[in-house]
Amino acid sequence: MTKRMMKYKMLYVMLLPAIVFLFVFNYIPMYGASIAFKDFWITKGILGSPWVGFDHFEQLFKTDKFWQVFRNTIEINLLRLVFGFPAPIFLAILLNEVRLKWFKRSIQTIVYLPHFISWVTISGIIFSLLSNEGLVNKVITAFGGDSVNFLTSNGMFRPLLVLSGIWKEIGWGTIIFLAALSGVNPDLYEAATVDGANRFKQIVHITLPSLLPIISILLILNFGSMMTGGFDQVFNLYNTMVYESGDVIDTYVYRIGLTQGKYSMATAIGLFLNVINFVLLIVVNSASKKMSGQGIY
Amino acid sequence: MNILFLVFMVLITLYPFWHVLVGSIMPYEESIRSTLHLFPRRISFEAYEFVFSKDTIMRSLLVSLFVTVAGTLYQLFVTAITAYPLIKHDLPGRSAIFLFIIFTMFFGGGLIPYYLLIKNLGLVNSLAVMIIPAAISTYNMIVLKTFFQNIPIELEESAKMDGAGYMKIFFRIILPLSVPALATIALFIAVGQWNNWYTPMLFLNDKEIWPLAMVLRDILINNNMELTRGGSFVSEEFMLGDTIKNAVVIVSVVPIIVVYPFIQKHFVKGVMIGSIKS
Repeated sequence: MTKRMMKYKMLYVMLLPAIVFLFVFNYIPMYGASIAFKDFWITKGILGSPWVGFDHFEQLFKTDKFWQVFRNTIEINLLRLVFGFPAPIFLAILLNEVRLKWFKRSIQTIVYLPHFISWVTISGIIFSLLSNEGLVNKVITAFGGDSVNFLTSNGMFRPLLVLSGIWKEIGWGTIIFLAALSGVNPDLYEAATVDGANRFKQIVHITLPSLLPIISILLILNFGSMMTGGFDQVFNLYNTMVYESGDVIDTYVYRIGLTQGKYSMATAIGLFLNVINFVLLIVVNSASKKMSGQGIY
Repeated sequence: MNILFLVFMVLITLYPFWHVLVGSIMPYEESIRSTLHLFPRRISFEAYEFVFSKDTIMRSLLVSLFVTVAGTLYQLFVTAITAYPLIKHDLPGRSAIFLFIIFTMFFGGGLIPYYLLIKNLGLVNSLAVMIIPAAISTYNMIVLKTFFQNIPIELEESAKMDGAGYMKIFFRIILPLSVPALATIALFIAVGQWNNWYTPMLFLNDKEIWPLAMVLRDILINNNMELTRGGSFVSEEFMLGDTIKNAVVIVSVVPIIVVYPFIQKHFVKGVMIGSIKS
């Protein structure tokens, strides 16, 4: 055994940096999450702080604010699922219908681009379009309408999240569907044409069914990240006026943990969320394996 | 119909960028008066002159460049050197090590314990925090691993006959043959580093070492008037406000648009490999 391992010692040396870094920056914080069960004092450190069991969790579950962000997270993710999830499928089907190669490729190049721009920059662009003195309101008032508070109204914030999310990721989302479609046998379409099926019928009977396996996997995976709020997007777009509709667990943890210094409480929320996500992932993955034979591990 | 809709999609995608670009090169007086500006009537680069004359922004550009280059080389190196041993199926303990790495993709300690760790390590307010903790991206590691697996094993075996060790094989054979994959991953990492505002927001209180993304955030979101108002030409700089914001947005986007064509060629393959893991 050891002799065999000696033969590979260089390979272990190569693996060493990753193991050390992951241990320090990923596994030590996992241990650090124990402060969710402690009355953490920064001066006493993690080891020196006394255990309090599930006190923080009990307190948490009694807080209205917590249930509000919990609900927000789920509701926002459901909205993303209903409107955001089908969008790239729709676009991929349309792109798939384009026969001109150069045209298809140039459209793809353009719609992929926003994926690489950070939410900080995009929120800057959004502010310049939607703020009270922004382009959209200038146009509305020019036509005699009243300007709309896109960025500070609770009714507008969720549509803003969903639409800006679609705008940023729709192109990127098409990649996987287009790849699945490139594997479809072109004879199928030809045969359908011979049988007199028009373009629309071909989409319904050939294109959509060939996307079904990948759609179901991605759909299930989406449920697996139900408790993740998209920190980047929400944090860069929200403000105190829209906490009611837009504050999600991730942003709540940041605020009460790092700006209010309630370390143990914030860790308890983080841990709660992480465990739910992890359980969801395992459940969802085994469901996916059962239904489609494919999973992520 | 279909074509029309797709052209509409393209316009929707591009117009916001165009709006900001035009907004950045138009004289301020005009930007208040006009509503929908498709083309600037007069071009003025005063906002850019202002941006590039500002120490805060120039320094942050240098920080961003440094962090992007150093961070990319470092993360690429660690990711590649980790991916290679994992393709050896007969390596004792391989699957345990792989699980140890992959597990971090699905479970973490959360924000606060991470924050406390970084604090205890003394990495707060040092540029190292932007580079060192992000040693390896598991996703990229899987993509590289899949790529390495497809390199013909015979090449390695003949090198082994000549007495080359794994280290030598890795540096002399595997890496040179993987340049396209490495370049793609490098660009992905570089874009991530360039866009990183989260780490500096958490750990860099010292504005002197802020990268551009953080300065941009400060100007755009916190609406920090210190920058647009400060200095001796108070009123004039204040007047430039919106055009300056637009100019900073453009400055932050341009490097990505410049490297974009190089990533674009390859990323579809990368995404496909990464999306379904074995």
